[in-house]
Amino acid sequence: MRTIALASLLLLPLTQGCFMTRDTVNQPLQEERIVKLAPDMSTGEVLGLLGGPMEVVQLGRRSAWRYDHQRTKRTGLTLVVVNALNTDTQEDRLWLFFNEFDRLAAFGSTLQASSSEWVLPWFDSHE
Amino acid sequence: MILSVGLALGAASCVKARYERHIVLEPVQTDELQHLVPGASDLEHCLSVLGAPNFVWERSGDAIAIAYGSYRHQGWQVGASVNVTRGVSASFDYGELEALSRGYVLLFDERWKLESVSEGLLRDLSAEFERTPPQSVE
Repeated sequence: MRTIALASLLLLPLTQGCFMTRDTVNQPLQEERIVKLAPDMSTGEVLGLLGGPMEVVQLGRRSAWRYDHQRTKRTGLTLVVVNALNTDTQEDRLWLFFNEFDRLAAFGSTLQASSSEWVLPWFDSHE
Repeated sequence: MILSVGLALGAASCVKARYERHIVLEPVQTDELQHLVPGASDLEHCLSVLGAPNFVWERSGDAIAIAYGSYRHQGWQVGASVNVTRGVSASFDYGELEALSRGYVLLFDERWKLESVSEGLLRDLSAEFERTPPQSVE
Protein backbone atom coordinates (compact mmCIF):
# COMPACT_ATOMS: atom_id res chain seq x y z
CA MET A 1 0.00 0.00 0.00
CA ARG A 2 2.74 2.40 0.95
CA THR A 3 4.44 1.71 -2.39
CA ILE A 4 1.26 2.48 -4.34
CA ALA A 5 0.75 5.71 -2.45
CA LEU A 6 4.33 6.74 -3.03
CA ALA A 7 4.12 5.87 -6.72
CA SER A 8 0.91 7.86 -7.08
CA LEU A 9 2.45 10.90 -5.50
CA LEU A 10 5.51 10.60 -7.72
CA LEU A 11 3.31 10.34 -10.79
CA LEU A 12 1.38 13.50 -10.02
CA PRO A 13 3.97 15.96 -11.29
CA LEU A 14 4.24 13.98 -14.51
CA THR A 15 0.57 14.54 -15.25
CA GLN A 16 1.01 18.28 -15.44
CA GLY A 17 2.36 20.34 -18.26
CA CYS A 18 1.75 22.98 -20.82
CA PHE A 19 1.70 23.28 -24.57
CA MET A 20 1.79 25.89 -27.29
CA THR A 21 0.74 25.17 -30.84
CA ARG A 22 0.35 27.15 -34.02
CA ASP A 23 -1.84 26.36 -37.03
CA THR A 24 -1.78 28.30 -40.24
CA VAL A 25 -4.01 28.25 -43.30
CA ASN A 26 -2.53 29.50 -46.56
CA GLN A 27 0.44 31.75 -46.98
CA PRO A 28 0.49 35.23 -45.40
CA LEU A 29 -0.78 37.96 -47.72
CA GLN A 30 2.04 40.12 -48.95
CA GLU A 31 1.44 43.79 -48.39
CA GLU A 32 3.96 44.77 -51.03
CA ARG A 33 1.78 43.04 -53.60
CA ILE A 34 -1.48 44.44 -52.27
CA VAL A 35 -0.23 48.02 -52.64
CA LYS A 36 0.28 47.34 -56.34
CA LEU A 37 -3.45 46.82 -56.83
CA ALA A 38 -5.09 49.65 -58.73
CA PRO A 39 -8.61 50.43 -59.91
CA ASP A 40 -9.48 49.12 -63.37
CA MET A 41 -6.94 46.27 -63.30
CA SER A 42 -8.12 43.26 -65.24
CA THR A 43 -8.74 39.88 -63.64
CA GLY A 44 -5.74 38.58 -65.56
CA GLU A 45 -3.48 41.25 -64.12
CA VAL A 46 -4.72 40.47 -60.63
CA LEU A 47 -4.11 36.77 -61.14
CA GLY A 48 -0.58 37.55 -62.26
CA LEU A 49 0.01 39.63 -59.16
CA LEU A 50 -1.70 37.57 -56.45
CA GLY A 51 -2.34 34.14 -57.90
CA GLY A 52 -5.68 32.37 -57.64
CA PRO A 53 -8.20 33.40 -54.99
CA MET A 54 -9.58 31.13 -52.28
CA GLU A 55 -13.18 31.94 -53.14
CA VAL A 56 -15.12 33.57 -55.95
CA VAL A 57 -18.58 34.96 -55.22
CA GLN A 58 -20.75 35.76 -58.23
CA LEU A 59 -22.65 39.03 -57.71
CA GLY A 60 -25.05 39.15 -60.62
CA ARG A 61 -22.93 40.30 -63.57
CA ARG A 62 -20.11 41.17 -61.22
CA SER A 63 -17.92 39.14 -58.89
CA ALA A 64 -15.82 39.26 -55.74
CA TRP A 65 -12.65 37.34 -54.96
CA ARG A 66 -11.37 36.46 -51.51
CA TYR A 67 -7.78 35.82 -50.46
CA ASP A 68 -7.03 34.88 -46.87
CA HIS A 69 -4.50 33.56 -44.42
CA GLN A 70 -5.35 32.43 -40.89
CA ARG A 71 -3.10 31.89 -37.91
CA THR A 72 -4.31 30.18 -34.75
CA LYS A 73 -2.20 30.02 -31.61
CA ARG A 74 -3.22 27.75 -28.74
CA THR A 75 -1.87 27.89 -25.24
CA GLY A 76 -2.71 25.16 -22.75
CA LEU A 77 -1.92 24.43 -19.15
CA THR A 78 -2.72 21.06 -17.59
CA LEU A 79 -2.90 20.86 -13.84
CA VAL A 80 -4.09 17.95 -11.72
CA VAL A 81 -7.79 18.37 -12.24
CA VAL A 82 -7.96 21.73 -13.99
CA ASN A 83 -7.06 22.56 -17.56
CA ALA A 84 -6.75 25.98 -19.11
CA LEU A 85 -6.87 26.64 -22.82
CA ASN A 86 -6.65 29.77 -24.91
CA THR A 87 -7.07 29.88 -28.66
CA ASP A 88 -6.49 33.02 -30.67
CA THR A 89 -7.29 33.09 -34.36
CA GLN A 90 -6.42 36.12 -36.43
CA GLU A 91 -6.52 36.58 -40.15
CA ASP A 92 -5.21 38.38 -43.20
CA ARG A 93 -8.03 39.04 -45.66
CA LEU A 94 -8.29 40.65 -49.04
CA TRP A 95 -11.51 41.07 -50.99
CA LEU A 96 -11.50 42.27 -54.58
CA PHE A 97 -14.66 43.44 -56.32
CA PHE A 98 -14.83 43.30 -60.10
CA ASN A 99 -17.37 45.07 -62.32
CA GLU A 100 -19.28 43.50 -65.19
CA PHE A 101 -16.27 44.08 -67.47
CA ASP A 102 -14.01 42.07 -65.14
CA ARG A 103 -12.19 45.21 -64.07
CA LEU A 104 -11.22 45.90 -60.47
CA ALA A 105 -13.77 48.31 -59.01
CA ALA A 106 -12.96 48.19 -55.28
CA PHE A 107 -10.87 46.26 -52.83
CA GLY A 108 -10.17 46.12 -49.11
CA SER A 109 -7.56 44.40 -47.03
CA THR A 110 -7.11 43.54 -43.36
CA LEU A 111 -3.76 42.21 -42.21
CA GLN A 112 -4.01 40.97 -38.63
CA ALA A 113 -2.79 37.37 -38.67
CA SER A 114 0.52 38.34 -37.10
CA SER A 115 -1.29 39.70 -34.03
CA SER A 116 -2.33 36.20 -32.91
CA GLU A 117 -0.90 35.54 -29.44
CA TRP A 118 0.15 32.73 -27.15
CA VAL A 119 -1.35 33.70 -23.83
CA LEU A 120 -3.16 31.97 -20.99
CA PRO A 121 -6.90 32.66 -20.86
CA TRP A 122 -6.88 34.85 -17.78
CA PHE A 123 -4.44 37.36 -19.23
CA ASP A 124 -5.62 40.26 -21.37
CA SER A 125 -5.40 39.72 -25.08
CA HIS A 126 -6.63 42.01 -27.86
CA GLU A 127 -8.39 44.17 -25.28
CA MET B 1 -3.44 7.30 0.09
CA ILE B 2 -6.92 7.03 -1.41
CA LEU B 3 -6.82 10.74 -2.12
CA SER B 4 -3.51 10.54 -3.89
CA VAL B 5 -4.61 7.57 -5.99
CA GLY B 6 -7.81 9.40 -6.83
CA LEU B 7 -5.91 12.50 -7.85
CA ALA B 8 -3.58 10.47 -10.01
CA LEU B 9 -6.47 8.73 -11.74
CA GLY B 10 -8.33 11.99 -12.14
CA ALA B 11 -5.32 13.65 -13.63
CA ALA B 12 -4.88 10.85 -16.12
CA SER B 13 -8.49 10.84 -17.20
CA CYS B 14 -10.40 13.35 -19.31
CA VAL B 15 -12.73 14.29 -16.46
CA LYS B 16 -11.56 17.72 -15.49
CA ALA B 17 -12.57 21.29 -15.04
CA ARG B 18 -11.55 23.43 -17.98
CA TYR B 19 -11.27 27.17 -18.25
CA GLU B 20 -11.23 28.18 -21.87
CA ARG B 21 -11.15 31.30 -23.94
CA HIS B 22 -11.56 31.47 -27.68
CA ILE B 23 -10.81 34.63 -29.60
CA VAL B 24 -11.63 34.73 -33.29
CA LEU B 25 -10.76 37.90 -35.18
CA GLU B 26 -10.83 41.50 -34.12
CA PRO B 27 -14.17 43.30 -33.93
CA VAL B 28 -14.90 46.33 -36.03
CA GLN B 29 -14.54 49.50 -33.98
CA THR B 30 -17.89 51.25 -33.62
CA ASP B 31 -16.33 54.68 -34.04
CA GLU B 32 -15.18 53.66 -37.51
CA LEU B 33 -18.78 53.05 -38.50
CA GLN B 34 -19.58 56.69 -37.86
CA HIS B 35 -17.57 57.56 -40.95
CA LEU B 36 -20.08 55.71 -43.12
CA VAL B 37 -23.09 57.55 -44.48
CA PRO B 38 -25.97 55.61 -46.04
CA GLY B 39 -26.85 57.07 -49.41
CA ALA B 40 -23.45 58.74 -49.76
CA SER B 41 -20.70 56.24 -48.95
CA ASP B 42 -19.82 53.79 -51.66
CA LEU B 43 -18.30 50.33 -51.38
CA GLU B 44 -14.76 51.58 -51.97
CA HIS B 45 -15.06 54.08 -49.12
CA CYS B 46 -16.51 51.49 -46.75
CA LEU B 47 -13.70 49.06 -47.52
CA SER B 48 -11.10 51.76 -46.94
CA VAL B 49 -12.59 52.52 -43.52
CA LEU B 50 -13.38 49.00 -42.27
CA GLY B 51 -10.93 46.84 -44.21
CA ALA B 52 -11.82 43.55 -45.82
CA PRO B 53 -15.14 42.00 -44.78
CA ASN B 54 -15.54 38.43 -43.62
CA PHE B 55 -18.46 37.70 -45.91
CA VAL B 56 -19.80 38.94 -49.22
CA TRP B 57 -23.29 37.98 -50.33
CA GLU B 58 -25.38 38.54 -53.42
CA ARG B 59 -28.79 40.16 -52.97
CA SER B 60 -31.54 40.52 -55.51
CA GLY B 61 -30.55 42.35 -58.66
CA ASP B 62 -26.98 43.56 -58.55
CA ALA B 63 -27.20 44.61 -54.93
CA ILE B 64 -24.80 43.09 -52.42
CA ALA B 65 -24.22 42.74 -48.70
CA ILE B 66 -20.96 42.51 -46.82
CA ALA B 67 -20.45 41.48 -43.20
CA TYR B 68 -17.88 41.88 -40.48
CA GLY B 69 -17.90 39.53 -37.51
CA SER B 70 -15.82 38.28 -34.62
CA TYR B 71 -16.39 36.40 -31.42
CA ARG B 72 -14.87 35.93 -28.02
CA HIS B 73 -16.11 33.27 -25.63
CA GLN B 74 -14.73 32.27 -22.31
CA GLY B 75 -15.88 30.26 -19.34
CA TRP B 76 -15.66 27.16 -17.24
CA GLN B 77 -16.60 23.70 -18.30
CA VAL B 78 -16.62 20.60 -16.18
CA GLY B 79 -16.93 17.11 -17.56
CA ALA B 80 -15.52 14.62 -19.98
CA SER B 81 -16.19 16.59 -23.14
CA VAL B 82 -13.40 17.11 -25.60
CA ASN B 83 -14.97 20.20 -27.10
CA VAL B 84 -15.38 23.46 -25.61
CA THR B 85 -17.18 26.54 -24.53
CA ARG B 86 -20.62 27.06 -26.08
CA GLY B 87 -19.97 24.66 -28.89
CA VAL B 88 -16.91 26.42 -30.19
CA SER B 89 -14.63 23.87 -31.74
CA ALA B 90 -10.90 24.08 -31.44
CA SER B 91 -10.49 24.88 -35.11
CA PHE B 92 -11.78 27.89 -36.99
CA ASP B 93 -14.02 27.90 -40.01
CA TYR B 94 -16.24 30.44 -41.69
CA GLY B 95 -19.45 28.55 -40.99
CA GLU B 96 -18.70 28.72 -37.30
CA LEU B 97 -17.84 32.38 -37.56
CA GLU B 98 -21.17 33.18 -39.16
CA ALA B 99 -23.12 31.05 -36.69
CA LEU B 100 -21.56 32.38 -33.52
CA SER B 101 -20.37 35.88 -34.09
CA ARG B 102 -21.87 39.28 -33.63
CA GLY B 103 -21.02 41.98 -36.06
CA TYR B 104 -22.28 44.29 -38.75
CA VAL B 105 -23.96 43.75 -42.08
CA LEU B 106 -23.74 46.53 -44.64
CA LEU B 107 -26.27 46.59 -47.48
CA PHE B 108 -25.39 48.15 -50.81
CA ASP B 109 -27.69 48.91 -53.72
CA GLU B 110 -27.08 47.92 -57.34
CA ARG B 111 -24.67 50.85 -57.77
CA TRP B 112 -22.82 49.66 -54.65
CA LYS B 113 -23.89 52.68 -52.63
CA LEU B 114 -24.40 52.05 -48.93
CA GLU B 115 -28.05 51.60 -48.00
CA SER B 116 -27.89 50.63 -44.34
CA VAL B 117 -25.80 49.21 -41.53
CA SER B 118 -27.23 46.61 -39.14
CA GLU B 119 -25.73 45.20 -35.95
CA GLY B 120 -26.44 41.81 -34.40
CA LEU B 121 -25.81 38.11 -34.76
CA LEU B 122 -24.54 37.46 -38.27
CA ARG B 123 -26.61 34.29 -38.42
CA ASP B 124 -29.78 36.33 -38.04
CA LEU B 125 -28.73 39.29 -40.15
CA SER B 126 -27.68 37.14 -43.09
CA ALA B 127 -30.69 34.84 -43.19
CA GLU B 128 -32.47 36.79 -45.93
CA PHE B 129 -29.73 36.81 -48.54
CA GLU B 130 -29.48 34.61 -51.56
CA ARG B 131 -26.53 32.30 -51.23
CA THR B 132 -24.33 31.52 -54.15
CA PRO B 133 -22.12 28.52 -53.44
CA PRO B 134 -18.43 29.32 -53.71
CA GLN B 135 -16.94 28.45 -57.06
CA SER B 136 -13.72 26.56 -56.97
CA VAL B 137 -10.91 28.10 -58.94
CA GLU B 138 -8.30 25.99 -60.63
